[in-house]
Amino acid sequence: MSLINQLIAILTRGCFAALLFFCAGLINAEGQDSQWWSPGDDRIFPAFSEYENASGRFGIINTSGPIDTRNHPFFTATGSNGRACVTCHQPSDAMSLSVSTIQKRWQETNGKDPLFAAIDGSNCPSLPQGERESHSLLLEKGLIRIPMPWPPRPFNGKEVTPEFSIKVIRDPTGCNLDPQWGLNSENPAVSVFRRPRPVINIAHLMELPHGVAPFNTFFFNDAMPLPKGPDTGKPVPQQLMADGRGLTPKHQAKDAALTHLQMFENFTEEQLQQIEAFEKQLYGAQSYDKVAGDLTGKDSPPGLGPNALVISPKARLGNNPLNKNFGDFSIWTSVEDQAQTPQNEVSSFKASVARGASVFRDIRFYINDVGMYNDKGLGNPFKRSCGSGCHNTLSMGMDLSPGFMDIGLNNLPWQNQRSDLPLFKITCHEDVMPHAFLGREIYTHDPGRSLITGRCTDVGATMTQQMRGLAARAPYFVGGASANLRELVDFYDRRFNIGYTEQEKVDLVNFMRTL
Amino acid sequence: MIQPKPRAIFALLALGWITLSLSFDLAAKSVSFITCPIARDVGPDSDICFVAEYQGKTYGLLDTNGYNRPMLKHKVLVEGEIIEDEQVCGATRIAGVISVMRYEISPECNQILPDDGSVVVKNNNLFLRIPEEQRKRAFRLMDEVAQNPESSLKEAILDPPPLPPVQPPFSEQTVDLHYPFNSKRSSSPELRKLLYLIHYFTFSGGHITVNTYQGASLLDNGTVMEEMQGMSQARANMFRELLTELGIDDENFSIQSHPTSVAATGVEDWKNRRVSVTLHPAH
Repeated sequence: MSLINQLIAILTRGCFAALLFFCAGLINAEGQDSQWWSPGDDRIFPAFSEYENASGRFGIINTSGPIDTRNHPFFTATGSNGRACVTCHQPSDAMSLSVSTIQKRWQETNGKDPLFAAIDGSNCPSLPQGERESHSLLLEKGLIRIPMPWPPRPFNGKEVTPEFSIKVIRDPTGCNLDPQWGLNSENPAVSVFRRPRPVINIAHLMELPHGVAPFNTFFFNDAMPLPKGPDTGKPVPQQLMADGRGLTPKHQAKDAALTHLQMFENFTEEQLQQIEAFEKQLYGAQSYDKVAGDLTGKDSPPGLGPNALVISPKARLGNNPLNKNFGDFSIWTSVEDQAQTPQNEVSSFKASVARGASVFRDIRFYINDVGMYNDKGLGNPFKRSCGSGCHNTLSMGMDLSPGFMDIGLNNLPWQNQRSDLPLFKITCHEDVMPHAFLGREIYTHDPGRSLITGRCTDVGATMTQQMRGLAARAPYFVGGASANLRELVDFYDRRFNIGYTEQEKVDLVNFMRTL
Repeated sequence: MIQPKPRAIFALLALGWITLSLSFDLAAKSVSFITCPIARDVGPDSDICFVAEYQGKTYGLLDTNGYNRPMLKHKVLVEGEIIEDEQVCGATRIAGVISVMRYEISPECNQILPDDGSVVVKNNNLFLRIPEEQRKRAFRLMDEVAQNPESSLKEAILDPPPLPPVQPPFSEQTVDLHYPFNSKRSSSPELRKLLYLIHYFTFSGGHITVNTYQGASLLDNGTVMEEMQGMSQARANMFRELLTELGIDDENFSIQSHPTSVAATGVEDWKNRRVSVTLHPAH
């Protein structure tokens, strides 16, 4: 029996606690500060590990067993700025990066960590480095600068002719009007600022969708064949990145090598294979909650804890009476129902989580005026719940027939105007199909997918993402607009005029923090 | 000479009247108009449905050509037939094609009728749409959940079995894909048919010919609406990319665009907005 099979067997036999203690001990032996993983730390990445966060602990199962990270390309500073992949994809932060971690790192290193590299760890490379103000978007919102070439580069082997012009209306970072880095520079670029996505459960994200034919062959947005991974030649579901520019883990790594890592030469094929294999062998979820306790094992709902991601079939519809999106939570519903004794904090919390799962799954609302969603045949409005609508994938909560959509994370008026982000005016050409609800003149903080496709309909659209490890990686949404889960719920409640009760909001937050 | 009985004469007259009425009705049942759709809420557990007011009457809108629902903030072109004995969304059904007028935004199209309990929509959850055998399996798993909660993480909906090999003799295969007005987005049901044609091609070989068209629509008020210039070519370009991406080599297909809009008659004009794909097997 292989190590991972043994591991899974142990987990499913309910001996999780002993294993957890063993592995957590390995990690915590180095002390609290060891949660930050620097390039070249040369640690062992264990078969199972846990990392503290404000709500409890995030657990990672590494299905290939412990690996030595020495010289591993994910953990080694291969570029000129001292970063590695792990710099922005910290195990403690669900393989993403939380603002609290960023701020702590700033304090610990006085802003000298490679994380704060001028190229994209500051608001603009031309700003004086090492000053807090120059790194405000990273420090306050967890945002990395993404310079997108303008006009867009060929994508998926095809030339892109933009259907719109772009004008900088406001440029608080100075980067979009910067003579060296801006739109009018020698290499014109649109600087947008986005959160790093979690590099966890990637095997789920890379699986073509099941049960939604023909959208295992065609892309929901335009009903055209799914793009093919440049390294595989096979169709890919485009779930990896907010704008879909990286189609596979290797493709994404190659892009990151030259941008975020500032490598002079790209990864070798062998290194890319190592990176991809590593990313696909990690499964993660919140494993312990400070109130509910252990989120794994027979006393917890089966959909919680990292093992749920190991055993759960990949890329399946979860919005049905069996799967209930994240599995059955009645084990915690009955905690409340059967309790004849006065409720304590733990049972109340568990019951709240179970109710939150129901709210997520069952309460329908009008999903309206969402560009590249309502206009794809669904109708406007489309009346669904969170779980039966855009977060319908079993155990993961992303969109199974994925489409880049504009729910109002980037475009005005749904997004609150933000004084910290650039504001662009998009003017679409007269002969092209306009944005379904915003027309031909759109004000946006981030043109999103349209910077890849050049399409007016794609302005502000981004890809729905997975819902695992939320407690470990605040703030939320592509532009870091919500500092915590309550703000996230409030955004949806306002955006779609849902009218959740206060209790429902609390339940939703409790539910999401355990995922 | 046999004298017709008065009752028989009456019956004949009645039959004639009914026939005349029916033919009159049939002619009158084709409709083509542009209007604001109206959304109707039909309860907390159901999707929205849509109706439209036309000539003083309310009709239920249900697209028969795929999953193409109306959108508030946009007008719709409705082309279809009135089905008097069928109700959709609490109103007489118009069966046909719904085209959302995507190029213009119409903020005035923004009415949602609240749920008043008068319309009951049958439950259409995923379990009711899967094959019987799968449904039984899913219900069995649901029964197991109380004893074994992990059953709730098993796949409820299985992949369909792979398409069986196509055996000779091969015959010509044609699939028509229809498009909403000024659109080149294919519908899911028709894409599934196209995939079957391509599956067939992998066994039969041969050549695929694609003809793309654009159309006009004669509205009931006499207005003729033509699709944008170049729609046929846009559909041709889209199809070239689509077939190439699906692995059909250039030499195995040819595409002809017909740039002149097919003349409108007011009856099933939507059928002219199409891409016609024909597979001519090698043998």
